[in-house]
Amino acid sequence: MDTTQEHSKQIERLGKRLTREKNARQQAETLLEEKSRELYELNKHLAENARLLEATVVNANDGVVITSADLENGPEIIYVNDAITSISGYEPEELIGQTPRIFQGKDTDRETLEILKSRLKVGKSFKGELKNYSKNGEMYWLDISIMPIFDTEGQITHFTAIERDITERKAVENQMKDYANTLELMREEAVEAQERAEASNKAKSEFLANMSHELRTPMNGIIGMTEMLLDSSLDVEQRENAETLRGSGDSLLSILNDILDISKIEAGELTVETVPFDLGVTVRQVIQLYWPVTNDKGIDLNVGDLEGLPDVIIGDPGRIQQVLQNLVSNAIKFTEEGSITLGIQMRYKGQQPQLYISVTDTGIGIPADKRNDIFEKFTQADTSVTRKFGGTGLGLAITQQLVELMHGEIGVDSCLGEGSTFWFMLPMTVAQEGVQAVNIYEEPQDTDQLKPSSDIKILAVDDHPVNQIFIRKVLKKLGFSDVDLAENGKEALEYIENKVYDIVLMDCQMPEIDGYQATTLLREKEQGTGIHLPVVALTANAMVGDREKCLKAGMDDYLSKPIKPEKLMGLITKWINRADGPLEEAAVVIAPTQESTQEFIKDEVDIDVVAFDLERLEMFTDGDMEEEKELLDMFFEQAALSISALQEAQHSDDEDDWRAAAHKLKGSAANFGANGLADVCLTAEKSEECTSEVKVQMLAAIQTSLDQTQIFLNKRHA
Amino acid sequence: MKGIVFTELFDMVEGLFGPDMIDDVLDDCELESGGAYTTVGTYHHTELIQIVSALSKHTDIPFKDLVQKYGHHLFFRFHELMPTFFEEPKSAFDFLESVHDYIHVEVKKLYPDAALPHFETHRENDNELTMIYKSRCPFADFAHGLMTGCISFYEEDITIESEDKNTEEEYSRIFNLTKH
Repeated sequence: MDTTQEHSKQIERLGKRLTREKNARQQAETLLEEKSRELYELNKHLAENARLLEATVVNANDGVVITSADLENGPEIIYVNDAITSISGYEPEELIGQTPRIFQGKDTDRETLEILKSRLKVGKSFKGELKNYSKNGEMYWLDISIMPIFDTEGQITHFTAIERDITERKAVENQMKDYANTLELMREEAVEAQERAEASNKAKSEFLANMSHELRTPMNGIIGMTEMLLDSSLDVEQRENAETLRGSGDSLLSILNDILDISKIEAGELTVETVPFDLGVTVRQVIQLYWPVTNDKGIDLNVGDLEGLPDVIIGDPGRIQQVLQNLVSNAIKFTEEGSITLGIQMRYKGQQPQLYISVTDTGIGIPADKRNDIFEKFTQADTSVTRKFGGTGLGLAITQQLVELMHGEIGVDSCLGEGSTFWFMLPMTVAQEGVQAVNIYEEPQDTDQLKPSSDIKILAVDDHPVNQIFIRKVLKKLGFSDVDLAENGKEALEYIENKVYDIVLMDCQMPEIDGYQATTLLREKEQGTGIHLPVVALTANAMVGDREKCLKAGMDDYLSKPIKPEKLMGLITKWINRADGPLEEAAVVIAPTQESTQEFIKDEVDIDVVAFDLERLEMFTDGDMEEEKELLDMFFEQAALSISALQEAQHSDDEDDWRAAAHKLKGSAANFGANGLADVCLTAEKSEECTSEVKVQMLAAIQTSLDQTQIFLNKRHA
Repeated sequence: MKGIVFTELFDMVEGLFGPDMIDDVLDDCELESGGAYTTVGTYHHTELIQIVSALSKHTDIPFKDLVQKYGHHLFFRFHELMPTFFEEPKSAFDFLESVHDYIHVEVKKLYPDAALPHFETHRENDNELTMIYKSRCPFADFAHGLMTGCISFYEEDITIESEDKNTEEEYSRIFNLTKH
């Protein structure tokens, strides 16, 4: 290739390279221009954002302070907005370059500052209240929140504080606090005043209760003496006077009872039980009580259908009876002709089943404007009612309070001249399947196979005539006719000496030789003879240790009063069958087991549910009212002796006499069905403190209970 | 693909084969850009493939070797052009590990439109590093070259074994690096 060709090729290449370089430069310039435009746009956008942000910050009502992030040497203020000037009085140029300490003063809380610092140090924000000081030294409260500002590397570069002056709000808060304190003081005073009022009301109630007790004793004297007077030979006028006297005495006593009830309720002494009970039995007992009265008056007394109601429900049968009695006796009082009908239903209040009981009469009715007042204490529909029908106006108040005590409600619907329906509704809990009602007797177990022959010889030992009658009755009912009765341990041992018995039923506390001693003596005699006469203790004791005491004395088993026929039958069966067997087996039974203790405690619970257990009484008499009357007379005669013994013992130092007398009365009361009385006697017998004062109170309680029992039974026999 | 890859390639070719070689190569190609590149511009990656293919023809050096050689060369150039990326890493493994999480992040900030390959690393132990290359462009060999450049730069004795894992969507290669 020659040089000319070489040169022209070189030139061509250079030309190409030049073109490429030119193109590249143009491209670069275009890119540069594009980038410049982009930068300009971005800048404009940023400036606009900054302007908006600054305007917001500058003109914000809250103060804004931006500082550097130097916590060690104190952050340096680099920006403050206008609001800071109006809050603090400092101009921006006075603050820029300073640390926020310029705002702090003697009352600025150091602890808050420490918390603030420690939070910011770890990059957390802080929010709180702080006292700051203005340029002229005035304190102001700040609600302050400080946030760290991070760069893209996550390093803290600045802090921003937003501050709000809350001095006024604080002042209002403090004022509110003062008001609240004053209110609290006033409330406390009111509570105190209320407590004082309640205490004084309670004292009043207690006084009334005591007074009623005190009044009752002479009243019993008056009534008792009137009875005696009526039993003597009187001429017609004297008899009329004495009968009036008795009538007045009776109504005065009933008023006293009402006052006692309401006082007890108000003094909070009345409690409500929750036990399983048979609703039918409870209602029937009330009907039986009032049937004679309505019969005399010529009014029908009906009970509605109980079907569809659960047999056993949980509640307080005694109180329910009391409510029902009050309503029924009220209805009888205000009804001259027609009928009184009890309606019993299950209703629902939301999901909660309610026992609804109504008493509808065809009496005089209650005017609409009086219906709300009749449940008030000492209020009757009309003062003329008092004149015509008597009464204290306490009955319905008591009734209402009892219902409320059971968390229920009570009301009345009435039409003047046509009659009234009083109703009450109680929250009802249905007892679980198989739960035994406390006011119903178990069906006797079918023990035919083991049933001992009816000609076995039984010795019953009890010093109390009423109990003697009971035990004989029970044994007769159970089919045993060969029964001897001994009055005490000494007599019992004589009987055993002369006759071979199959079983002994032994009371524990008796004069001369008591049941424990008698059994111990018997066992000593039996030693080496191979004979073992079964001895079953019958006792009104209801304490756990007593069972062991019986077994220790050599008794084989134990039955607590009131004696239930089926239980007695069970024990007789057990021991007659066992007497032939080896003794070791008996020993096993003697050892008090967990099970037997539980059973025993259950017995104890069984005792006292209804103040008076009429079914029990009737069990002995088979409903023969004449026989019942005789039995009652005997009981009250014995009870009077017990009361005398208690009266004698109440001022003596010997506790044993007192306890023995209470025990004796308790036993016969329980047997007889007077559960309320038996309970009171038990309290007296087991009372830990036995000072004269306590005894006097207890005796009064026993007397009251005895009176109530007597009134209750007198009504039945009226 | 950023223009710097083209301009640096031209500089290397010029140094190795003289300026005429660039003219010859460009004469063989039909390039959208006409062969005029600026460092800040962005060009289609097929242009690079065309240029290296033509270079391979003119020099009789295999395509793959050229690309690897260029990668090796470029690494040292990067050190001169962008020394800040070399401040932290103290070893080849350190540096390779910083590529995805640091260098590419920074590059993205400067050139939001840059299409960068995906570099995942796993340090198996002190002496073994796995690096997974994933890209829509077939430049695994280029990456290989950059790695050998990196190893030479830190003057370490590291061998590389690799295995292709290409799929229909993307090119992928697993590099196992072992330090001796």
